[in-house]
Amino acid sequence: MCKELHNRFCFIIPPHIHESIARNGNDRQKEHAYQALNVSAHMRGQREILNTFAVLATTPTGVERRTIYNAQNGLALPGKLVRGEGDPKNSDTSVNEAYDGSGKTYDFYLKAYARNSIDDRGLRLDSSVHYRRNFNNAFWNGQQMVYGDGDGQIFQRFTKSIDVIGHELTHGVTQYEAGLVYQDQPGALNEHFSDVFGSLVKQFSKKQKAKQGDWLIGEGLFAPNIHGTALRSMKSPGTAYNDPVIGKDPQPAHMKNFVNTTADFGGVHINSGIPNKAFYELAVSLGGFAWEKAGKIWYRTLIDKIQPQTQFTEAAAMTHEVAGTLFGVGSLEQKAVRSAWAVVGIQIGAPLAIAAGARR
Amino acid sequence: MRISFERTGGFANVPLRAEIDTAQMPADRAQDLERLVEKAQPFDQPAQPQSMPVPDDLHYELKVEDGSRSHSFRTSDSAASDDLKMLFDFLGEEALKKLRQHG
Repeated sequence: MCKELHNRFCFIIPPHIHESIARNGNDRQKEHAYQALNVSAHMRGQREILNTFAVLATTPTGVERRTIYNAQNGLALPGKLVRGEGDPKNSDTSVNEAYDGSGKTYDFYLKAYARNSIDDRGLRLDSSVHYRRNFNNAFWNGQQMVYGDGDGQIFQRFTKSIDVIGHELTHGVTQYEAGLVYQDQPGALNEHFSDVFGSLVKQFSKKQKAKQGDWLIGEGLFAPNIHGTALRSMKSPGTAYNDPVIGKDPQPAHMKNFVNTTADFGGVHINSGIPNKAFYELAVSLGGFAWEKAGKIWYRTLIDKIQPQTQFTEAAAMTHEVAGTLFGVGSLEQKAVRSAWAVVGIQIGAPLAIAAGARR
Repeated sequence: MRISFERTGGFANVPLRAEIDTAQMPADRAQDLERLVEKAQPFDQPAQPQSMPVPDDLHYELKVEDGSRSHSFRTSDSAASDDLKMLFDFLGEEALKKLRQHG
């Protein structure tokens, strides 16, 4: 189980030691121990054991804690501590963008869904910038966010776009709440939830209604000579870029164009276009602020329903069920969920039959 | 030495693919590559990664050929050793160069 976590702390130290640290360590040790326990317990499906320790490591709701490190173009993480919570602005743009972006994401989850950070227990948000040289990626490593500077030829720095930061932090939320496996359809759903809430962090921070949002992921990340506006478009998957050097946006917008591949862990960043489009359709048809209705349905689905191996059709049925719980069975909102999935070629069957098959 | 290199995935998922041949590289770059290969030991890599990927991990697929030796493997950035990561970064640079020449 620990082996599957690629979590060094977890590899080395058995759970009972974490438990001891969670009880007796200093604040930072407690937090790390709690984090490790939470991740490993979740993977084992034993979330109840956490309740004993949760109280020992909970930061009160609304108390934000951010820590930014500089990896100094090396491989070692997290690197050198350069800005903590409440510290003044740094001279380094990447540091400030990581700090402000994680702040906006924290704020979004708190105000839109009353969620206290990634783990809903006030987990400190750690980020490392300047990871490796010319590194064209940003990722969530199970414990923190990591950002490359980009190579300047294809990409600029990955902290530049607020939705990237929201996307990475949401991988943390998904890890704690749903544990979606990062492969094939469950992996594409993992990506999809990160794109949804990454995009909503941006719309929330700009106070934009669904129709005003650009629904782009990674807007402004491309170097100036690349032909493209962003990496992905939720509104129109497959149209975000088309460039002679890097090629064309490969995302499908409909099940009939689902891509079977071994690359990208089974096309997790490719087939996410299908649920992304469904979410966009729902948000626009319901109108208003997307995080209030469509986002709420998706958030509760992620928290309460999604399982590690959930497939597209199961996820669709779950959103339909949740819409019924939140807004009423047969409500306008629930009908809109069904129509949105139909746009991408996913028909929601009889709610009870599908839901039973989707659960463990 | 010949290396068939493919990198996909990552937040951006912009694929990089290239056939790299030390015989066709400038001598200093070819030497750098030999040195990185010496450290990273690609011929000894398991055919599949030994751990699950992290979100937005990079996915690599390689075939390495040197004389009579040939080995193919798939792995992720998070599963790779630091030496292997450095080899991947070098190969990524070479692949990008080729892409810009021929793209």
